Amino acid sequence: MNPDRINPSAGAAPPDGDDAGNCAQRLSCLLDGELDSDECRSLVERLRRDREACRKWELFNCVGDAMRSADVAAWHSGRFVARVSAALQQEPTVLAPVAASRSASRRWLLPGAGMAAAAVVLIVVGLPSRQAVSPESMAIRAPAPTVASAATPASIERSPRLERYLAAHRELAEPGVMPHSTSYVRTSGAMSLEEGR
Amino acid sequence: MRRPAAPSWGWVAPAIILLVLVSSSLAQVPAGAAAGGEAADGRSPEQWLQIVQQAARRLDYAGTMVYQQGSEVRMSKIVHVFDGKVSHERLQPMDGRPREFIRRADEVKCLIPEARRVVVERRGRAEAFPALGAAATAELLRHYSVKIVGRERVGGFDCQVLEIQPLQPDRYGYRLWVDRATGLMLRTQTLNGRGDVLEQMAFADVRIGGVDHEQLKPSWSTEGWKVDETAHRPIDLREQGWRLLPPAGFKPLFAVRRPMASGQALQAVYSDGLASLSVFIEPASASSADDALPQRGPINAYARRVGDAVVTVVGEVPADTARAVAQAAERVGR
Repeated sequence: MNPDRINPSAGAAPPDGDDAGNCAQRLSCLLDGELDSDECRSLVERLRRDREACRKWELFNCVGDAMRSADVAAWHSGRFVARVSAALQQEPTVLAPVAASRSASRRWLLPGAGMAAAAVVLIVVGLPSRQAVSPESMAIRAPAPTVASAATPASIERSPRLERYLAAHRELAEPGVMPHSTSYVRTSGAMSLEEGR
Repeated sequence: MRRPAAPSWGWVAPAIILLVLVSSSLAQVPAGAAAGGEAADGRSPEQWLQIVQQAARRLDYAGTMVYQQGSEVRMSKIVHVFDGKVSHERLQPMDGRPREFIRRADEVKCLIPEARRVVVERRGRAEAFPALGAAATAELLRHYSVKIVGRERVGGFDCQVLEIQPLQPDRYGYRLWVDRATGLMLRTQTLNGRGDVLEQMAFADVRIGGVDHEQLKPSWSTEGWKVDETAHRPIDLREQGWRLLPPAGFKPLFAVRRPMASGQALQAVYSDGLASLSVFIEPASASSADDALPQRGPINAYARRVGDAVVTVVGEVPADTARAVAQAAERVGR
């Protein structure tokens, strides 16, 4: 499979497309915080064993990152990010704000809608892996993006300036209630020295 | 003696499922549970806090940690070993660029494979001093109330649920799920005044005890990699001409001069035992103005211009608290 293909409909679903699609959908749900703890556990267990699922997980995160910040997305493979960004720009209708009347539930819907939009973009771009996520499985989540606004909530935007302070803060701060290591997870692995260069 | 097969199949499948369920739940009971688990009742919330702190430091465990902040979920593999003197930890984030964090006592090595680089961070203290230490607990109770709110099963472990609530709205509250048998914290939530979960950590799976020390070794040999150490020198804030006013109960941990992207900066760190905040003081640029930086989960930051300097407060505190500390910062005569 040509990893550079941009055609959404190219290629039929692989033999285990159903399972792959189902897995992708569950990963998407995991990102949206829609799984209960038992489902989370079983999915995490699968991520430990299944390289393909792991790759998808990374892709989903990459797409989410690309939608939020080019800097963060640049952590992932450059070419793929470029294609994701291009696909995002070509898909204004997918991300257009429609349902202003649902503003009461916006706060909770936005993050989920963001990932659902990401899932749609994945189809547009095509997965650079051997197994494509089946478009059927994604179609279930497709209506949600109509709620997505062009603006990303400020809380998930990442500020490089804040990252720098956070890395320096983490280095000397008390671990507190959270385990010591949480502070490293919190700051996306940024380092005070690294950021300064 | 052959029995008809058809009717027997009706119960075989449920029986197998039941067997699997029973055996898997048995397998998850920690070793210590049978021996001393029952003595757990009757412990005060304060005792639980101390047990948690001891367990976090002294237990050997390995597992997968899930961290959630808003719509972001991150998973990491974690290995923790106590060698009798200090704790060792290895953290492998499973998302983003490959990184590994190897901690020994207060020294953390951050491995950056694509740059063949190791960044060594050192707090400059014998052992990262325990947040919930025995002496600290009494001090803690001047600013928080602690109570046992229930008992729940988390990840197959029988957990005590503790709630730590701030007495004043200038800091956050926490909810902890603690394994009753070992004291290991299996889930933690940070809560704001409305009870919203700002961030949470949970073990998706964990094995307590019997951790192979080989698991602490990094994935890559760092031979020939460039080693950078973060450099900070202790300073006296007063001598530098600054007076800061942290919230009640926040004690000074460090005051240092350190390199930042903007050049040299002063950093003062305060903690009340659960939450920390840093105050950065840097030379102001022409564009420096007072503003709140975007909130990240429980982290708030506020920058304020004071004369020819910018004071930036960053910490796991509510936005109002970060702003109040920034606004209280002042130059003193020198």
